[in-house]
Amino acid sequence: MTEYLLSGFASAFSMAVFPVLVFGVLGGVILGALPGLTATMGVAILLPFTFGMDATPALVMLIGVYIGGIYGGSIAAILLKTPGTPASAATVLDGHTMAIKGLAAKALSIAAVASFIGGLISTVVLIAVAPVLADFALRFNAPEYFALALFGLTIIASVSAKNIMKGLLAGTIGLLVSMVGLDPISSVPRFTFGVMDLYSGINIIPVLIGLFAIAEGLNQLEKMSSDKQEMPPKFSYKLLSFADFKKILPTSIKSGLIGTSIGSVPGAGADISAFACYNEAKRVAKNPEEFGNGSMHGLAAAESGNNGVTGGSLVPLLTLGVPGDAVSAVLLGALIVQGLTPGPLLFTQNPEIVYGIFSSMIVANIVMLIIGFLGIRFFCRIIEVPKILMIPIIIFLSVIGAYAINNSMFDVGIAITFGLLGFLLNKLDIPSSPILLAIILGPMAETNLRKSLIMYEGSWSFLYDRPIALAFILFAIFSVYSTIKLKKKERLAEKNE
Amino acid sequence: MKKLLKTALISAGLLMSASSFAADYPSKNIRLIVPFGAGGGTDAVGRTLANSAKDILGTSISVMNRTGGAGAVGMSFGARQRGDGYTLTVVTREIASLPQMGLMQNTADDFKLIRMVNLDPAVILVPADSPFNTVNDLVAEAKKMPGKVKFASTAAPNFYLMALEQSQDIKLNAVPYNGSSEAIPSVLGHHTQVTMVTPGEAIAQLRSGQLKALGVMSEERISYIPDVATLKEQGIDATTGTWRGIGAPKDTPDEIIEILGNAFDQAMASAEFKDFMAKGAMTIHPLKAQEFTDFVKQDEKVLSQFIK
Amino acid sequence: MLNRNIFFPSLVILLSLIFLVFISQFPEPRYQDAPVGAGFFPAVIAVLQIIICSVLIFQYKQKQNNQNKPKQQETKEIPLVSKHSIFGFTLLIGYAALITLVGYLPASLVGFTYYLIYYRVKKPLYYVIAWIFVFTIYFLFGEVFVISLPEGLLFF
Repeated sequence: MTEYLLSGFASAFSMAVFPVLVFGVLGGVILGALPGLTATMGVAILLPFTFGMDATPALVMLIGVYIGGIYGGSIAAILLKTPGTPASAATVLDGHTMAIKGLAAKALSIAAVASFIGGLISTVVLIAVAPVLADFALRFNAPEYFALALFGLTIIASVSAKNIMKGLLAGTIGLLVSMVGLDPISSVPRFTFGVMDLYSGINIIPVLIGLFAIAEGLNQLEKMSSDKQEMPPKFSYKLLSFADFKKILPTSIKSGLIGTSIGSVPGAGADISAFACYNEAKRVAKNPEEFGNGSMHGLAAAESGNNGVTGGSLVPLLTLGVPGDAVSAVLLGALIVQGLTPGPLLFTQNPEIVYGIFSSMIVANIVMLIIGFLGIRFFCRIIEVPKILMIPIIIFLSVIGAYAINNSMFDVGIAITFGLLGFLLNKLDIPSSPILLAIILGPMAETNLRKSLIMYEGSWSFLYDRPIALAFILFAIFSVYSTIKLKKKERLAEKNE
Repeated sequence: MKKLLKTALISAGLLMSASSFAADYPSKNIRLIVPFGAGGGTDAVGRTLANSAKDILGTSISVMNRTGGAGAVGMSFGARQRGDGYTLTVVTREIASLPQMGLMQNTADDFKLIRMVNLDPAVILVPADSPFNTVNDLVAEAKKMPGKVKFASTAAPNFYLMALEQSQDIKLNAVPYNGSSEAIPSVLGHHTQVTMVTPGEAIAQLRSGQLKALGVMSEERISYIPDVATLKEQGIDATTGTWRGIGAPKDTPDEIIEILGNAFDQAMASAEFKDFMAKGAMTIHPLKAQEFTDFVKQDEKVLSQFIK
Repeated sequence: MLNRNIFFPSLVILLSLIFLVFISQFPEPRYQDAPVGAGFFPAVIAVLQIIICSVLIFQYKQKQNNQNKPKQQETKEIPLVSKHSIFGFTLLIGYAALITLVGYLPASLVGFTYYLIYYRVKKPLYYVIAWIFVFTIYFLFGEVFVISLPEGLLFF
C-alpha cells in the first residue's frame, strides 16, 4: 500500500499530472465562487475533455475541480454573503459576520485552513478504513435516511438567530416549498397548477441564489443609498494566528470526521454535513451565543465539515461501485470511459489508479490551501470594490447563474421570487438558512418515511428496531432538548442583567 | 402581455429564418437537448455522440441539459423549438410512457425521429448470497407470498417489473427508489431482495460478483454478460428494457433529417463511440428514422397495457 | 396602518388554510401508494405553520402589553420597501426580460449602463469596468467553461 501511495505521489507531481491538478483546483475554486455554478457542474462539463486523456490525469483533474469547488463557495459566502453552493450556506452565518467586523482576511484564512484539515482527514480516513465506511453506508436505507433527516431538521432551531419561532416559521416555509412537484412516491402532482416546469419540484440552487445573493444585492442597494456616510469597517489583512489555529484545530478535526461519515452515506452531501457540524460545534461550545456573531469555531466547523465530505463521498464509488452523490456519479462515468470497473475490483485490478486518486487528493488539498492563502490579498480586494459597482455585479451574476444551472428562464424567475421573499423576510427578522435546510431535508424526510412504511408494510417498527435509525432519532430528541436548555439559560441571563 | 410579445417575436423570428435553406445546412452550431442532468447515463451518451458527430457534420454540437419531470420538461422543450435542424433532442423511453400517464403534453408525434441509438434490456439482480438462483425461484417465492418479496424499484411506476408481474401473474412489494444508484445499494445491503436495471448500470457489481443476475429480459443473450440466460430460455415470455434516440421538431425539413441521419449513422459506427458504449456495457441499436418511428409506436402500445 | 408583526403571520395562516384546501383536492394516485399518502406531509406542515404563526402573533401581543407602560414610542421600524429596493427589483425583472429577448451580451451592456446612469455615476472608469466585466463573463462562460448563456429569442 505504501509503495502504491508513494508512486501515486510521484505521479501527482509529474509534469503530465501536476499542471492538470492545479488547473482543476483553480477552476473549481472559481466555479464554486460564482453563484449557480457548482462543483457538480464543473466535473460534468469537463468529463468529455477527459475522454482523450490518460486515466490518472483525467481523474485527478476531476477530483481537483471537486475539492476546489467546495472550498471556492466559501470565498463568496464570507466576502459577499452570497454562497456559491448550498454547502457554503452555513459558512455565511459566521464567516460573513467576521468580514463585516473587518476580519475578512482572517475569516478567509480560517476557511482555507479548516477546509484543508477537513479534506485531509477525510482522505486519510478514506485510505485507512474505506471498507468499514462502506459497511456503514450499506446499513443506511430508508428508515435511517428518515431519521437522519429528522435529526437534520432539528438543526433549524440552532441556526435561527434570536427568535426560535421565526426560525421554525422559515423552516415550514421551506418544507412547503419542497413539497411542490410530483410526489416522489405516487407521482401525484402537488401545488404545480399545471405548470410543467414545476413537476420536478423547485430546484434548490435558484432558491439559494435568490435568498442569499439577490436579497443581499437589494439590501445593499438600499443601504448604500440610505446612509452614504457609512464607511467600510477598518480593514485588517491579519491572518489567523497560531493561537487561533490551536483553538480551531479540535473543531476542525471533529467536523472533518463527521463530514467523512456523512459523505460516505450515498445521498447525504456537503450541505447537510456543513450544517450538522455547525450544530455540533455550537452544542459543545463554551460560549454558544458567539455563534452567528462571528465565531471562529462556527466558521471552521462549517468549512471543515463540507470539505470533509470529499473523501467520504468516494467510499461508495470505490468500494461498491455506486455513486454517493452527483460528483461521484460523474467520476463513475470517467472511470468507466477509461475502461476501469469501479467498485472493489478496482483495488485488486488497478491499485495504481486507486492509490493515484488517494495521493492526488492529498496533493489537491495542499494545492487548495496554497491557492487559498495566495489568493487572500486578491480576494480581499473584492470588498474594496465600490458598492455601486459590486451590487449590479452580484445581481447580474445571480441572474446568469440561475439560468446556467438548467438553461432555463423559469429558474431565473424562481431566483427572483425568492430574492424578493428573502429581502422581505430579512426585514421581518426571519432567518433564511432554515428555508434552505428545510428544502434540502424535507423531501429526504418525506420520501424515506413513506418508503420505510412500504418496506415495513405499514408498520412503524422501523423507528426503534434499527439501531442506526434509533440513534439518529435519539440525537434529534437530544438536540431539541439542548436547544431548549440553552434558550432558557439565555433568558435567565437576560433577566439578571 | 408578455405572452403576446413573445408570440409576436417568435413569428418575426420564423419569418427571418425562412430564408435559410437545407442546402447550406449546417451553417452554425447545433444544440442537443439532453432531458436529464449532467453526469447521468443519458447525458454521457448524448455528449459522446455529439462529440463523434461534430467532425462529420463539420460544426460543433453543444449539449444543453434541460432536466425535470423525469425527462418531460426537456423533451417538451425540444419538441417546441424551431424546426430548422439546429435544435435536436435526445428522446428516451419516457416519451412513450409519460404522455399516456398525463405527465407530458408533447408526444413522439411532435418529433421527427432521426435515429435510435441504444436499446438495453432489463436484468434481474439479487445479492450474491441470495437463495434465488433462477427467475423461476423468484417467481415461485412471489407466488407463495404475494406482495411480500421486496423489490427495489428504480422508478414509479416501474414498467420492467410490470412486464414480469403481468406475464407470471405475480405481485412484488415495490419500494420506489430514485434510480439505479439508490436501488443497487439497497439490494447490496439486503434491505430489499431484488432489483431490475440495465446491464450498464450494474456492470461494476456484476463483474465484482457482489450481485448475481437471474436473467436478462431480451430476445437474445447480451454480449457483455454472456453467461446470463434470457427469460425466454427459462420459459418465461417477458422482454423489456429501455432505449434512447435522437429527434428533431416535427416541422424540420426531410432533407435536413436525411443529412443528420447519415451523420449519426457514421457517428455511431465510429470507433470512439463504439468503444464508449462497449465500456459502459450499452448496446448500440441503430434503427433508421422509419423503423425507429414504428418501434416507438409499438412500444407505446405495449406501455398502454400497463397504464390504465 | 397595518402592523407587519401581525399582518405577516396572519397572511401565512390564511395561505396555509388555502393550501389545506388544495391538499384535500390532490388526485388519487394511479399506481401504488404508501400507507401515508401524498397529502399527509403537506397537511402536517400547513397545520404546524398555522400553530407557529398563532404563537408569533400571541408573543408579539404579549410583548406589546409589557412595553405599553414605559415607552410608548415604537422602536423605529425600517420601512419594508424603499425607492431603491423597488428600483433594484425592477432592474432585476427588466434585466431578466431583456435577456430573454436579446440575449446575454446586449442585455447586460444595456442593463449595467442604465443602472450607472440612473445613479448618476460620472466616473468614466466605472463604465469601462462595467463593460469589461460583462465581456469577461461572456468569455469565461462561453470559452472557458463552455456553459451556454441565454441567447435571446430575437437572434436564435
